[in-house]
Amino acid sequence: MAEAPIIELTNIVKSFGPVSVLKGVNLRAYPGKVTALVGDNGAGKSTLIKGLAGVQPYDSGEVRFAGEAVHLHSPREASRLGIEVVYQDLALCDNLDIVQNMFLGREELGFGTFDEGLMEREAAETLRQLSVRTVSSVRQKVSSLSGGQRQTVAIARSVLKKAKVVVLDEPTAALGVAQTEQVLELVGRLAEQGVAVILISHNLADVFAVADYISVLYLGQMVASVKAEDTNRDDIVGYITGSKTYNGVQA
Amino acid sequence: MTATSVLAPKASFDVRKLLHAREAGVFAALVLLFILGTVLSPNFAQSGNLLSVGQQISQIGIMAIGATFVIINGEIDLSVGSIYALAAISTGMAIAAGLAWPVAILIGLGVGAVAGLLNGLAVVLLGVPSFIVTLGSLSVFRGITLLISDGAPISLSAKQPGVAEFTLLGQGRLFGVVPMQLIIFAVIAALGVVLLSRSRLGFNTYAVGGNQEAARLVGINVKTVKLTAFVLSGLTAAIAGVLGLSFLSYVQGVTGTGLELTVISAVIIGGAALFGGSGTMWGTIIGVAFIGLLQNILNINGISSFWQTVVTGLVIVAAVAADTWQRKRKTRA
Ligand SMILES: Nc1ncnc2c1ncn2[C@@H]1O[C@H](COP(=O)(O)OP(=O)(O)OP(=O)(O)O)[C@@H](O)[C@H]1O
Ligand SMILES: [Mg+2]
Repeated sequence: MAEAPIIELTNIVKSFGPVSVLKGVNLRAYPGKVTALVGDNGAGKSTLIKGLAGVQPYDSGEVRFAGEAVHLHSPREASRLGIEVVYQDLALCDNLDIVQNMFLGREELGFGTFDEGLMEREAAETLRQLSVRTVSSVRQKVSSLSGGQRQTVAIARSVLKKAKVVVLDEPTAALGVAQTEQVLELVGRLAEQGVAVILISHNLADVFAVADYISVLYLGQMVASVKAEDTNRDDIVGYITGSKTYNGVQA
Repeated sequence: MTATSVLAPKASFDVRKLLHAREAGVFAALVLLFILGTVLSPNFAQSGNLLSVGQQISQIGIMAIGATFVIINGEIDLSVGSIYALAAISTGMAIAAGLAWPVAILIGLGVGAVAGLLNGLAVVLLGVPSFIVTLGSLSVFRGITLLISDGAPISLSAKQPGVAEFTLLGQGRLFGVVPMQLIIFAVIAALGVVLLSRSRLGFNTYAVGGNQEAARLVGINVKTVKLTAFVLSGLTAAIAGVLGLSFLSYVQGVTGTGLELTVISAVIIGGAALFGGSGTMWGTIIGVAFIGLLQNILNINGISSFWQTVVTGLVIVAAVAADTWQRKRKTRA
């Protein structure tokens, strides 16, 4: 391991009433690397990342950010550290335009009035850095965008403020071939810029196309964490379905 | 979707916002109504008449400013007519009891803000839909108004010290021309415009109304945004109630019954959607003016107030139908 992990989750536990969803989960993510988080429906992937985003704090366990123990109890706290999440259902406001969505909940809006022109320039600049060329105007309402464009806006939103960690929850689930390609390219570009990317996906082709590490969650437990180059599709399918157990060293 | 020039920001942004299709439509309707009024009666377009329309719409207008925040949040406040009366009675009783009029006003406004806060707390803490909460509080606040006044009207005697100053708020005219009430409405409307379109609260209000869950996930305090809206609604209803008392020197427990419907109508005619997320303060102001002019035209042409009720109802449905039609056309394009 060349670099120290920027995110290190240890022994994370989370239950909803009697239902125990995360049973002592460990996860690491590294700057400039893509860590894929895979697992069957209901394995607990979204729950794991909602804790990291501060929207649904963990019951117990340790979260280290750049080596320091942190407590994440609100989206603002996570955002302040540079942790941004693109949710499964995107969490965009259809009634607002691209710029407004990218600045949603941002603290720089301040208490007084804010600078629409500056917001517009920053949003456009972020899209340009991501080489996004698929939206015709940053003042378009999000309701008028295609699935891929919406995904693009959600990702651009997450990197607007120089995020250090970006979590993407099934970013390609609803996309066609070409748009999936674009989003995966975007994921690669984020990692190149030094961002630690955590990618949740059910599509193993996508996972193997971009991931440096693969972590497999099975019924609330992390059953494998491996380097993508040291494993293969069949093994991962085995871990996901529980028909195979990993007995190598956890990467 | 291949345009690449895209990201060049458009400088005309604010202008386009002003000409927002829905508002432009209502504004055009307002202009047509004005022309119609002028054609029907020579008395209509006189400054004296128009200023008295301004006087008549001021209280509804002030209440509509607060209601706009609630409606853009995707909520509704049916209790504003009752809060209007509760605040007016509270202020009236305080003055009758010999308190200085500024203190009496503060009491009335405080009562309104607290009433709004209670509505808001019930909505965000108990999770009861605002339609139900405020349907209940419409009745509760009205009942309290009748209880504390014991069902008896309050008349302010001009002989009592301070009452003359107090009634200036509702009856006075700046330079003997412009009604004080209209000036107060203008100031509150200006504050409303800035708060809704230029402040973080306004920005967050649109986000909450558009997608509450998304707003929560990005760290917007949804509860605070909604509470603020209900407090503003209660406060503006109270301001209107105090002005009503000042205007008539008189208030009774049933005063302001049904006002909520006129207020909500004005906001809806102005283009806000009942399910939240859209609408503007300018739209509301135009909607208020529209209702005022419409009633005035019917009045000066001697049309019975029964017909006025019918026409107002038809206009609301027509306004929303036109909006729905426009939206459908847009999505098809
Ligand atoms: N707020 C909640 N209350 C109760 N149970 C919940 C809640 N959120 C999630 N769960 C349960 O936790 C389990 C894990 O859910 P989670 O959404 O984390 O799975 P996932 O791995 O993201 O699945 P998918 O691939 O379908 O998105 C599921 O059984 C789900 O029903
Ligand atoms: Mg999920």
